[in-house]
Amino acid sequence: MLMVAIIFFVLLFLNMPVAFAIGIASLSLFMLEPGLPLSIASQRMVTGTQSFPLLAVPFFILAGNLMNSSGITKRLIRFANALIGHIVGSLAHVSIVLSTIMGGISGSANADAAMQSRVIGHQMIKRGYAGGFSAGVIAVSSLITATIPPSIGLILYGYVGEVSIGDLFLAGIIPGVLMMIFLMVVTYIVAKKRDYDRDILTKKSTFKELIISFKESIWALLFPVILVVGIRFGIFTASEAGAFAVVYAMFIGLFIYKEMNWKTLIESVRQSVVDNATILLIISTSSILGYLITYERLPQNAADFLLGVTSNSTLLLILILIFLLLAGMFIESTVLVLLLTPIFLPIIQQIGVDPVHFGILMMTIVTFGGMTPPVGVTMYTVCYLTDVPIEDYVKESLPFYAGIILLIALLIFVPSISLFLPSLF
Amino acid sequence: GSGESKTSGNNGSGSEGESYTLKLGTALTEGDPIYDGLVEFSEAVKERTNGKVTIEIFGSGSLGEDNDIVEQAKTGANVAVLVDSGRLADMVPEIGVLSAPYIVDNFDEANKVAQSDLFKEWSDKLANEHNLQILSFNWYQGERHMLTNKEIKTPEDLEGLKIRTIGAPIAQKTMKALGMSPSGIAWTEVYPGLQQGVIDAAEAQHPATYGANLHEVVDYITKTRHFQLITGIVAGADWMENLPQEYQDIIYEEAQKHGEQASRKTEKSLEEYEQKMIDEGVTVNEVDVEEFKALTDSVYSEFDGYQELRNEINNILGK
Amino acid sequence: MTLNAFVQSYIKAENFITNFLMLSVVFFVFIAAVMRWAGSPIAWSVEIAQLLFVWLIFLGANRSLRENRHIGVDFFVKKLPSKIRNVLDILIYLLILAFLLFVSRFGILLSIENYVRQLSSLSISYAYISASVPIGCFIMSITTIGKIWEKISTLGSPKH
Ligand code: NA
Ligand code: NA
Repeated sequence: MLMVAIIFFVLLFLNMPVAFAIGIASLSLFMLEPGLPLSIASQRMVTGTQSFPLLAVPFFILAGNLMNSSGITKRLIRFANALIGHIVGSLAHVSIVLSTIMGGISGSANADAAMQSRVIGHQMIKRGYAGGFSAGVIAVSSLITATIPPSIGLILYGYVGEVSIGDLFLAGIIPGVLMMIFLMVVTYIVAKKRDYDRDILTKKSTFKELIISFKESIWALLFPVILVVGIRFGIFTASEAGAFAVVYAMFIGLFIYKEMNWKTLIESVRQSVVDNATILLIISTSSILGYLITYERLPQNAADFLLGVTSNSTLLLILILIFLLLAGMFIESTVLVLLLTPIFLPIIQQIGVDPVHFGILMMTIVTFGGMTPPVGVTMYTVCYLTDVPIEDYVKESLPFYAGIILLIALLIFVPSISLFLPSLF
Repeated sequence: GSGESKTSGNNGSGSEGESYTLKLGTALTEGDPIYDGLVEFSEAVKERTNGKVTIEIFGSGSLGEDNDIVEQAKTGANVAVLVDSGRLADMVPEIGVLSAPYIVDNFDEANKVAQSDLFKEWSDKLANEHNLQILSFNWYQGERHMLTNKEIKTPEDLEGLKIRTIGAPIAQKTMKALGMSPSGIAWTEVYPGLQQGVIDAAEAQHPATYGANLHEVVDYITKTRHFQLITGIVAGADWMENLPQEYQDIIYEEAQKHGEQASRKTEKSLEEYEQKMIDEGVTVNEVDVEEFKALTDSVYSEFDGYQELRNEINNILGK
Repeated sequence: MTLNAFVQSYIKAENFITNFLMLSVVFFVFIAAVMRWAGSPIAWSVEIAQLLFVWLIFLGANRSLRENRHIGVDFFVKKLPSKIRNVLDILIYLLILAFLLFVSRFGILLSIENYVRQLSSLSISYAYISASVPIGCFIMSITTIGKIWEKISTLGSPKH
């Protein structure tokens, strides 16, 4: 397994596309392991793409592209500016608030980040925000989307660990909102220091201006509302919501705003095909790696080791969470949930930690891993879609990482933040 | 048949000095009586082979989807999987009759069929033509019931409900025969799907219902018992044959023994699961199963030879 | 037809097919939800969407390869002189080519060997899904050969 890691890093630093670097590094192990027929590599590449919730990714990429060509974005940003344009770093705040609203619609951080990269990313850079800062705020704030229900990760955790999914969902709400506040504070501090928006902000808009831009963007604002209502009333599932988003964006663009034509429509589709394939090819080859990690029982061995280290319960919880943080930096979050929940949950319960509380911590941490180097699907997605070099992203994301880690620490020591709502219902 | 990628770590020269590892995948999770039975099976094999044969259990579907593991075993990987007969029906259609509605009434009957010469015939065909070896087919997971928010008293109450069921054609046809519309939804979406009314119904055995917390989002569990979920462990036939004969015998014996034991535990646990769910607010209703059974008769005529197979099975059971 | 004309018409076809697949996946999932809501669900909708999706990915991946859109980390190599970079790129492409050929060979064997595996609610072979990877990888390997050829030509010409 060490060999796989070394090959991966060497190839990565030689500028081989990530998807192939992961695939080739994984294949090297197949050559050495006689129990593994090579055909499994191909099989894993197929099955890596065969999860229905994954469909949300292309849908929200396409919806994001269509929202641009349909004129929805333009109006949404205009409205958000009228609303919070007077706060320093306004577009970054818009991204954070939008992720919170999207949290009620989408269960996938990656889909949210992909859409926002298209919708707000370029506008932020155009306005003079650093590329790394823009990509960082979009990627890290998408963690809010994965924390606020519905959340695909929490559903998986509840399923594997036999923990009430209803309780998990309730437990995610307050941490999600806190995350929004934490990230807005970080954004404010950074933007203030950098003097962002200096030329743009003049004054708070008048109530009348606000109403005008509200009316203008009503169809765009209805977008999340319609999705929420659609899911609530059982018209479509969270995974299908993306398809509705696409159809809705097309409808608005073609018939309401009338800014879209056949040419811009096809251009959006073309763009989305390439975006989608690029991202999904990484997920596809990563699932070869995921299989090897499972096959070699890597997480279990690491966990066994961890339990040998200490018997102090708080220390053990923190050690487990640090382990998850490190594992999350390399391994896809769903893989970790499936593998590690059955191992860690019994230990956690033994040392008196509430499984719902642990679920929120675990999901936040492993999903956060997707936003950190060296392997992070959300990070790659956002950097790719915003054309920001990974190294800039990493450097500029550090304050956001700090905000998230601070919040996680708060959640660890004050369990009632997560457990308050489930205890009410 | 077996491919050219046939490898198993010892090039067919199996001897008792060597060590072997089989990776056994299942969608079940720890705490399920069948899962625990698999662990005991693995421990027993390890002990009797003096640690030379290790069976590693991979729960919660972590080794992959059942169908994918079947495919891996087929191509010679050192993997095995716990599957229902529906998954094997693509290869040996006859075996799928065990997934037909009301084919048997309980574990004892299912077990009797699994020990019969008829079953042996199917299992040989699977090994010879598809390189898949059944270790034992007596792992009983329970009877499947209807989960709804509407009270079900007669089959008419099911009319028009959108239900999530297993993908296998026989399950889909059974639901249609009961008047429902089967709807393609992933298992992970059943919980929110029921909660939000995307689907009106699901069907599952008690341990799975409880495991996925579905009792939180339905008001009624109606004991229709339409499927008896009997499963078996399947490994690559070449891989198994490559083991020293003594080890093979130990594996078959222990799989048989622990399958039976775990199934008995499941039978007992079904009541406990039911009580737990009742305590958490679900209404569990009995119905006249015969009415439902009569409706599903038509399913048998939609699959080649299933009518005859049912007669043969009834003969074995003396019915 | 010259080779170039053939390549051009292939690219046109691939663009059309992938665009079409993208819209079809949306269409099927959308229609499935609408039909289910209207009371007559389509059981095979999920499977057909996933079938089209996997082809969309692997045919689209070739498009992405052709347009040099796959994500990499050029932080270290961008400091190298262009000649060395070109040689390095050729080596990287050769490795990718080997990977793609491996996956396509073993993938196609798997699809053939397990042709009996059925898609559960559509009565067709699972090979219609599993063949997407080897076929996609094979097409990508041809594109990769083209890329290597391009790089070698650049090496040969003193202009660059
Ligand atoms: Na955001
Ligand atoms: Na969410």
